[in-house]
Amino acid sequence: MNLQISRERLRERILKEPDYEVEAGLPIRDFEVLSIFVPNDLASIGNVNVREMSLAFGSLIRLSRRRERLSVEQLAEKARIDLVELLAIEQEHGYIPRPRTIHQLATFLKLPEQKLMKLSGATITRDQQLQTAAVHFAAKSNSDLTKLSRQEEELLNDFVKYLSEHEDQKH
Amino acid sequence: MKTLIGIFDLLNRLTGEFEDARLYRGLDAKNLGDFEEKWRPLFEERRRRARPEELLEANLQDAHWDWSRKAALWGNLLAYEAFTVEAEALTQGLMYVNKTRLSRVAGQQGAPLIYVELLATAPWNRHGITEKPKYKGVGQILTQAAISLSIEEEFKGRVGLHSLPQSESWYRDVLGMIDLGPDPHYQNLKYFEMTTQQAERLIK
Repeated sequence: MNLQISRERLRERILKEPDYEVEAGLPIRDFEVLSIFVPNDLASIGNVNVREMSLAFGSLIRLSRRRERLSVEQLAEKARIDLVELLAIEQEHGYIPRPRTIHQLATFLKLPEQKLMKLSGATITRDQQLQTAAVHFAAKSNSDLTKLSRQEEELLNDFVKYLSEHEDQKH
Repeated sequence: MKTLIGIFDLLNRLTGEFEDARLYRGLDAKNLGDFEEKWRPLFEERRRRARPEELLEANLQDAHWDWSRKAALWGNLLAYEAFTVEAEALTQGLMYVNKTRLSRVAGQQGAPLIYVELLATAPWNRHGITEKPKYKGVGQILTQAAISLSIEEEFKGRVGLHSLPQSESWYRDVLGMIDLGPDPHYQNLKYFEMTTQQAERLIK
């Protein structure tokens, strides 16, 4: 793509135009908001570890589904999401779901949506505390019994409580 | 992928001289690093210094961007494109556009246009954030990119956007876009559109 205006004409316009603010659309104050625009292959910048976070995301969805006593098929139907994508979320480490899917899951399972966006890798976060908590959660929730054990239920409740109450760590 | 469109100029308000600025299609990790390390600390500092009424305004502006709307919109990432402006090896501005919106203006209603989801300049270029903003012209370069993309997509220069309150004069009085008034579906931010004729005038 080329600009339709010449460099010289553009200079004249910039020189002559009044000095006004030009911001439009989304106010860009929050890096997490911005990162929704970013391709997933840029998610590895800085300290971000999408794979570790997505392990916790998959575990969280799996345990939440089992708490509701739903099969994968039933959750996909009730949350109105693609069955194959739900399987990928639960079983493929590093899989990054679409924002709509995360929104639907957060709404149906009553989980904090912005935190889910970060856990899933759909938005980028450099929150080290969240990453550490996510990895511990994923490590402890590795079993896959049909019904949640009391220990699993406590683990799930504790992590959801943590996500709901955790304040974003800026650096 | 990020590709160089060309080298243009930004006016350094502090020296009165023009300086080279690179306009790119796309953004990369360098831009993200700039947002995180250079932009955000200044936004946060501004927020700390804000008066209560200013904070309310800022919060209102933030609130209009809700996650459910974003999640619904971002189903098709191919519909979106980013443009960045760099000078002095720093990101000076960013624009994100959506290529799936339609015109609301009588006479071209329903015709496809380039909708600007976000147009932002670096905090050090803004009057509202720093006392001596540095570069002028980021908005003009990015607007020209939106018009040029609209022509490339055969949308004939049509562009639409929701202006933040402090920028309405620029879109209405400087660019001459049509003011369609507050949009109740977008936190009452005013919606502006550029017609083909207005775009032709701006690229001459």
